[in-house]
Amino acid sequence: MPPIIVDRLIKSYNGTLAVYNLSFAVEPGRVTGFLGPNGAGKTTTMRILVGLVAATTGTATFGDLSYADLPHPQRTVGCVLDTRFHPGRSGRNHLRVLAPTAGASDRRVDDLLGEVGLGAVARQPVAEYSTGMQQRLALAAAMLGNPDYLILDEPANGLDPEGIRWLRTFLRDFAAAGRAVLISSHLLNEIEATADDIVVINRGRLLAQLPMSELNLGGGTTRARVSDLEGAVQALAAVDADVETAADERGAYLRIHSHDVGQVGSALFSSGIAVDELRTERRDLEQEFFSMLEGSG
Amino acid sequence: MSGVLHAELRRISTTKLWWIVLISIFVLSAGYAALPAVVALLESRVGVASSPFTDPGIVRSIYNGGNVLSRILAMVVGIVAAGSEYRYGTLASSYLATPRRVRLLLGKAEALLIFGMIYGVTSVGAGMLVSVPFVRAHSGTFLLNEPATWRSIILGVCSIALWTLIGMGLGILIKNMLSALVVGIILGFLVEPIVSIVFFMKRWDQLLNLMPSGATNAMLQITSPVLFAGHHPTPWWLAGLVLVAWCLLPTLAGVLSAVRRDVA
Repeated sequence: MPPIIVDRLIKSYNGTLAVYNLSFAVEPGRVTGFLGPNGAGKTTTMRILVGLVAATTGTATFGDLSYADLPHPQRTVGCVLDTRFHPGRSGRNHLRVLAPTAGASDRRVDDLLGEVGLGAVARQPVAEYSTGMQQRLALAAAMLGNPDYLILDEPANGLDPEGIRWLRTFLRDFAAAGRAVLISSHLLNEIEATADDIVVINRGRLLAQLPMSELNLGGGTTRARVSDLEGAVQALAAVDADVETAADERGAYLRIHSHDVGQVGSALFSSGIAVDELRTERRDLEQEFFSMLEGSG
Repeated sequence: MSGVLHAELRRISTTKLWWIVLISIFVLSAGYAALPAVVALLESRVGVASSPFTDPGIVRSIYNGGNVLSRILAMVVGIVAAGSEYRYGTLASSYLATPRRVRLLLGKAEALLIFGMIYGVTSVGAGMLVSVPFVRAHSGTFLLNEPATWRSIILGVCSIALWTLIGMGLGILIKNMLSALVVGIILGFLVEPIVSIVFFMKRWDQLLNLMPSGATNAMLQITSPVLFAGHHPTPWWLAGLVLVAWCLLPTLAGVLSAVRRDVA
């Protein structure tokens, strides 16, 4: 299964650049998080990829094939781009309208509705669905053709915590089967828990594409808040790690470049230094994200 | 059957509108078919020996009496079929299922023609039912052994089906569904009939034959004055071509405009 390849993509709307010279790849077997602030061009890029919006120049393809050239689009690519439905149609009938081109039977429709937890409301009009239920229905529609690629634009919108957890497991399993996921979300901790790779864009331009493993999240530093800073620094000489002074809204503290909280604790204890706070510091995707954005100006 | 056509047939059959229109067409067609029958009776009342229901023009007018209303309702279904995709934002999922847009729109047109045929059969069927008491009571004839009668019946069905395409074109061209409905209904119920009446009164038959309703009447070889049918209709096949042109005009324009349009 070939990767999704976005190659020097440019989209301008009446002279305004929504996407500029954007290139990245989405590898099979991995979940790729697509990040960027509102208006960065994520939605435009995804819509170009599936042929809803025409690129000004450049290409976005599945291997070498554009979406429109795929022999069986729905059996190759599943999309959740929005949750727009005819309000009078039932969830089941919404899927049944999309089923013939996906080669899906009514039975497949019913199985999917059960899988996403809509079995009980399948015959009710979509107008009666909550946002989370509509999101689940959109996911079921994306899965109709049992595709190899999933493209999800903010799929967690309106999902309750249980739904978000379900989605996370679902996407991990999907990618574990060797298939590819491209997911945009503003919930950075969700991406952190789900993604293998991230692509960060701002103002339509690529800021970074890298595996999550290279972000070195978790940081591996320990925070110690003590009243006797100097004494603590001396006491920590026993610990083979750099120690620096940092400060936050509660005042100064020590950052020890070691993730061994136990070792730091016992060194401070044996020197008789009173400790107010001692814990592993976490550098999360959110902090990384904002420092990337700041770097881009 | 192709997947696209199957999908588009389901798209229409899974909303209420199609059978609301179906019932309306049956009821209204029955009512409208009685109109030319009653007028024919009133006109022939005094001192005429033969029954008015032996005149092929009148019998055909009864069979196709519902046409004038049914075709507007068929157009409404066409407008909604195209317009609801914009109104409810389902066009994106339709294009995702069938990224070749011309293929999708052709599938939509085919599905509409099939539903249009159902509406046509319903309308003409109601007209034929209504003719039964009139013909029986006034020793008329159903003229069902005449090929011209069957041609009128079949073309009546086809003409209603064709009007769905006028609607589809309007629905694509005017992206706001409610505006498209208002424009379609004003054109179909007001502007077009008024212009046709003017042409009818002035006896400008050639112009009348070029109007969508005039072409439809000429195609059916209807002569009832209630329907403002001209006295000199063009041959049925020429009238049919005029009506097809009326359908293709907005549909082609609509398809051409939709094919390149970004779906935001």
